[in-house]
Amino acid sequence: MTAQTLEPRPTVLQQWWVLSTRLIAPSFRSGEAVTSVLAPVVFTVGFYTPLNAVMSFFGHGLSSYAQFLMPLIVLQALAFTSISAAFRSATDAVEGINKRFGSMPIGPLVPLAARMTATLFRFVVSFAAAIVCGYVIGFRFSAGTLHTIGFIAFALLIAVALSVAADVLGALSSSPEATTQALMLPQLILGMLSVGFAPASQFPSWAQWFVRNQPVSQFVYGLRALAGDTTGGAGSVTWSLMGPPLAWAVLLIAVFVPLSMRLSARRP
Amino acid sequence: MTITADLVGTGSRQPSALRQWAALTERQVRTMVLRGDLVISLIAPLIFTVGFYLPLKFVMKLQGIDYAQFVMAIIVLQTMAFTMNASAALAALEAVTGFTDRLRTMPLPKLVPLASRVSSGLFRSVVTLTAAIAYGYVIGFRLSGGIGQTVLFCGFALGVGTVLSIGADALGMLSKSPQAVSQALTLPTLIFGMLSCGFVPETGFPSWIRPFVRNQPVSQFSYALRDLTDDGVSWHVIWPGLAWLGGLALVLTPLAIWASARRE
Repeated sequence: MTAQTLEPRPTVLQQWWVLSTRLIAPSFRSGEAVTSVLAPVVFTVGFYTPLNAVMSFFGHGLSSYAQFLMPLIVLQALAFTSISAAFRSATDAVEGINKRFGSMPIGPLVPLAARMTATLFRFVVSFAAAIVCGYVIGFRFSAGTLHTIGFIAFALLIAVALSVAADVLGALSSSPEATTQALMLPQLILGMLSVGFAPASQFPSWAQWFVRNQPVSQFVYGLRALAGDTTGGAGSVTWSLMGPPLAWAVLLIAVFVPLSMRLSARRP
Repeated sequence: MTITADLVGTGSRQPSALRQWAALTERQVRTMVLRGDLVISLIAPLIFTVGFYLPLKFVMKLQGIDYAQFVMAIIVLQTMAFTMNASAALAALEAVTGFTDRLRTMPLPKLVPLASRVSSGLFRSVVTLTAAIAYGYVIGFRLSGGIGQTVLFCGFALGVGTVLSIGADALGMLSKSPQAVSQALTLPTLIFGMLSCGFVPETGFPSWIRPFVRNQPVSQFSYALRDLTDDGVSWHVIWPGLAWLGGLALVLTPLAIWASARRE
């Protein structure tokens, strides 16, 4: 009857850390971290180079097209990263990892929190790369330190909203590959049919209402105002301007976090 | 002894390579239909059409460009690239799930699995090209070069789609990660698509990048496709696109054969 030395059960924090590193570490080997940096470079070159002359000639209302385009580059980079989050979530669901975690003494929200952490890590990398790319083409923060912090915080809020939504859509999917392809289409359509590319006035009149009010456009308006512009054409940071984009972000979180909790808490 | 002889004697003959190819292709097409991939193949060209046409229609009209006619080439090429992405994901999935290894242990000619994947990709390309042309007609695009040129237009587009799918298949087989390969292909597709004369005329680009923009394959493909939609085909417009297509086929086909047939 020898006394057994039982290992103490790891804390929730330790479990979260182990699962987070399980998702973050391979991204350096698989090249996902490199892709997180490359994506904003590709978006910057791909959007700015062909459209700068055309849009500057016909007018966009800001000091430069770089200033006009920057919010969309940030959002496209974040959306691109969120597709990876959806794939990872779908893979975990399809391969039975979620069920395996469900049968282990792990807090029901720990796997979700770990996936969110890994996604946010990629978001930060991608966001930093996007800002550097923006500075190269001529974008500048011109509304003061507080607004710059607001820009970063708002981008992070959008990132959280997108990652939670992507995680849920991935978990509900039966095919990781189909999820990736299906999510690329909304990213494209909402990006192209937004005020991030061209002013709403350049769209046909029947499409302008949608273009102006859809979430990507609202996020663009918010980020553009927070970045500021020397012409003052970016809009001022008021509740009337920031309310709708904040509402969209909060709504996404409010809808998808409970859904995600239900999916994560489900026992097999 | 007699049992063995009986078994050998009455054993059903090994199906021909053609029947094996047909069975594998049918399996992939059925999966495509059941999984909803075909629906995505119908939606993708609609999204490309709306997404590319609406934001720049007004700006291009002021420059005197019939943008529906102009942008259609890049819409078609983007839908072919979308098919390429799906082909890469399918190849990677079959490699990672062990299906490819399983086929290698069976009495199956080495190239049958590759041929079946290319065929199912071609089927997807036909569906998505048909949809793209239909959506193009809605926005005002017209194939005004007669039956012969219309056939050439479709043939050239499907040729591009098939060659890209063959290359993507090789990448998928070598990568074994559907996600990594899908992401790896998305960025070149975007950069070559946007930095081409399919989206914006060459004059819209800064002078330092114009030589690249003018001569890269997507621009040459779009010139060729655009030429095939109008009356009369100019050989000097078509041949660079055909040369790029032939060159890519010469490089990518052996690579795909090697990737598909190699032992681990």
